[in-house]
Amino acid sequence: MVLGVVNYGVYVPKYRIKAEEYIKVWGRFSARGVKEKAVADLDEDVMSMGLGSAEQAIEGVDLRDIKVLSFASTTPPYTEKLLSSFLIEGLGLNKNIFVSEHLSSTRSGTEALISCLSYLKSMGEGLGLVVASDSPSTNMQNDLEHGFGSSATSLLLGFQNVIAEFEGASTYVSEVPGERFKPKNSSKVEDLGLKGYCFTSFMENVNGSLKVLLDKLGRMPSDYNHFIVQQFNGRDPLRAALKLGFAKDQLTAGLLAPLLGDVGTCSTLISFSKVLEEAKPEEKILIVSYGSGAGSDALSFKVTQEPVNKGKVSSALNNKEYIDYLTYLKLKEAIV
Amino acid sequence: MAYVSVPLYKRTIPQRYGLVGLRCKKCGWINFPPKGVCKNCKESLDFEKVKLSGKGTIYSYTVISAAAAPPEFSKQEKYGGTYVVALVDLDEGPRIVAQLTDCKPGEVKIGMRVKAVLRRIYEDEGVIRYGFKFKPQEEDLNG
Repeated sequence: MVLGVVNYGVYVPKYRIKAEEYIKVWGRFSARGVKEKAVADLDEDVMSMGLGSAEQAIEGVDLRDIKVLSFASTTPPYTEKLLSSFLIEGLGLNKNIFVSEHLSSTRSGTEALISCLSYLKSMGEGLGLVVASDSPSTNMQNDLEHGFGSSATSLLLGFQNVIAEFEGASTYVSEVPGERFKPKNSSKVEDLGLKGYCFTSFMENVNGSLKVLLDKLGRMPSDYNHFIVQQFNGRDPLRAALKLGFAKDQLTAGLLAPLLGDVGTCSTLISFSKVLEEAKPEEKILIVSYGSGAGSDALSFKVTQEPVNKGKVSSALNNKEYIDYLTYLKLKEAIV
Repeated sequence: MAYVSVPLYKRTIPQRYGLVGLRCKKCGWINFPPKGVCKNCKESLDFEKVKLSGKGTIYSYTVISAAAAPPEFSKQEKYGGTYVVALVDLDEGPRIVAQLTDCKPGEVKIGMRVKAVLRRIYEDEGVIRYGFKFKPQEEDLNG
């Protein structure tokens, strides 16, 4: 029996701000390779965006078949209180299903995906829903802030009408303090500005999860049509991909940071949705996430058929309205 | 909106998040928000739950600016500017009041087709109140 992705949904808030707006105000823009990024409106948050993406992913299915829900975000609206409850009520899901919530790093999206896949595998039937939604934020004068965008993605998993078969996953974890962290009682991301240190950790962890998965499947980087890697900006993913033995054209379809910014834990899964929309049957997709502190998941999928309802990702990417930096500050409630 | 206590808000979550209304088993009228006695036949207490489509048409609207915003919406007005509150005729029958979102006051027209989306409404006592607003259905934006 084949387990894999059955459907997907995305939610991108309509506001965009261009890199030039930052340059006008700050004289520079620190998120390399990001041309513009998606900005949530005042009445949008990770819960409402997550719900919006989930509505697309579950369209047409019998909701009673959904047996598990996994939610991921690094910016939950509450630090203590269940969050999946909002989705259960908003979507009208069965209240007896198992839920898991993954909140500690940008790796959480793939963590939720692996959790949901594992639960379904143990059940041997039914559908699972993964919702990854993120809107990272920090102080306006922090360089990290330049790249932070907002988006949500949902994946519906199951055993029937699979569009991408799950082939395997592996994880690598190592202790790396001082890189992208949120102190206790703070809602703002911090880092120590140690770029080389962070990139070294990124490479060690990503390589660590990838190598084990590729060995397990007996594959090489060149066996994959698409390579999706965590995108903190638009430039480093290419740098990392080349170092890991992948070519630029394997990265192209899933490279979304130039258009959305760093969408945190949603990054790898929204890129996965974009690739699913364009991939052809038999093509292979390799996903590798990264979370600071640090850890990485690698997952392999094989496309089995084209999705029925195409165009959801491209229409979300194209529906946009540009704002200036002053409007951005108001939306971020940064003027107090 | 007057002050809504958290327990009262909790009891109304199915209608606020999921647009769950009550269909009168006697006359078929859809009551939304749910009522104790059917608003149409004024007799029946016998209902079945029904999830509404969230699609509707603007019957009328008004634009709220600084002085008119109730306290719980003053922050929204301050950061987001004027906003629109509309009377919406749902496709299933009920006429309800809600905010519009994802559109500017100048874009709103009577008779415009809208659909419900779940958004943050306001925050009180540290508790976020979510609920539906209406946004234009795509075909209206395109022409």
